[in-house]
Amino acid sequence: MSETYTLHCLSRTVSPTTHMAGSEGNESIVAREAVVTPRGIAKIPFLSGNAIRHRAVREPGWRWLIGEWGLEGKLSLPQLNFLLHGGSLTEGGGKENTKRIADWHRLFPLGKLLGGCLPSQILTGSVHCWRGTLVCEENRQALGDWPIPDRLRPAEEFVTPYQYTRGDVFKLALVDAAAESASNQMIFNGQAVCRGAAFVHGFVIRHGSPLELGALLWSLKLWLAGGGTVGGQAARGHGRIALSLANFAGDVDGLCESYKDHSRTVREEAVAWLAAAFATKAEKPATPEAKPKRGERTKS
Amino acid sequence: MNTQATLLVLDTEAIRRELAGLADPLKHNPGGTEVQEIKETAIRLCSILAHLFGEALERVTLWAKIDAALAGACAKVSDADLGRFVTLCLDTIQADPARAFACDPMVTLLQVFEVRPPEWRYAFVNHIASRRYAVVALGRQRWEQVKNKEVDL
Repeated sequence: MSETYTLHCLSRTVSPTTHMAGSEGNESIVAREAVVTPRGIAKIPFLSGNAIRHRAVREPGWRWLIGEWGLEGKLSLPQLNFLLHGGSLTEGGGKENTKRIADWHRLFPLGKLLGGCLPSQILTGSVHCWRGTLVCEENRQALGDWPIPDRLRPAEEFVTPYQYTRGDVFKLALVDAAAESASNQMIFNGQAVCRGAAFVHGFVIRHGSPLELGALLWSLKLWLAGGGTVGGQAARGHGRIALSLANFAGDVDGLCESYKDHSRTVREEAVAWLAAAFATKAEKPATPEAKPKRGERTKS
Repeated sequence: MNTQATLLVLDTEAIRRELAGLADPLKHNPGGTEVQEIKETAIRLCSILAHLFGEALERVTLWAKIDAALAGACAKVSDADLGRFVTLCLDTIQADPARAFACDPMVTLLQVFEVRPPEWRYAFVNHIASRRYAVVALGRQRWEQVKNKEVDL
């Protein structure tokens, strides 16, 4: 019997978080959403559900399965693209293979959560990833039942600048040519959400089962174990997040173990499913004789 | 891959504690009477600083230096230590130690700070940090009244 599961999460930023969207002049700016406040519309930093979904669930979850099933180095590029990025519809004549969908749901609880796109078939996902809502005064109404203090800091207090330098290849060529001691370093800067800020967000699994819940929890654990980053500039130490579940009544470890056991049990079938779903079509035999084009003389 | 990271589960009370740190300290409102007392004490501190302004400094920089002293002290005092707050201010205005030690209004002020609860002292620093220009402007007005012997220092 299916059930709808809702996970409420509180994520504290452990390092500056640069989930960016565009630039102003030379400065990269953090992604912001318009929020109606008593003082008018304000642009407040947020984390997109898409970013959370990919970094915290899809990537760690599938990477673990690929390793667990011994598929490292054995998957084709389309298969990897399907698992790690959702895939794309590349073949015409899309069809609805219900047996394939049923097997997908049975064999891949993580796949049922996230969905994907086979070359000839779209598989819908069942998890909704909420946006990360910054805990600030402007978002008070959106924070609903969260136990927030009477007065929160305004959003702009959580936005901090950063600056780094990188080598400018063009300048480097000039420096070499002129044999001067001029620096080839180029400054770049931008905005980040500062350390210590908090985002609330959540996941809803529609018509799910404990296996899918376990897949989600196990992916989150793997993501946290791998550093738990979201947004850009992770190479420079940005984007580390400490995620906690709010008032979760289930047995996290038990659900994770059940999911892991299931994944190990269905390994053979799952690998076969992946191979069949991405089997290349047999080429059509060449026609014995090409049809003459209009106006072309036929051999008599 | 290290999979030992724990997925913490927080109850409502733990979440409340987590989020308490995001409260805006500049909007702390300890109550109407206390707010008025904090406001008057901050203005009085300004006039005392004017009284103890170092002779080595140019007199025309009096209020700019006091403003800088308050700003610096607000930035450096991250707790409720008002003794350190006052000391930093006196350092900036290069107050003569002998005059400062003998300044009864300042000693009285320090005694007041000692008996006030931490919430009050936090609110005092936050009041100055968030309303520095107003505090200095009103402090200057009070200093004029002190010079005209309209009020005591």
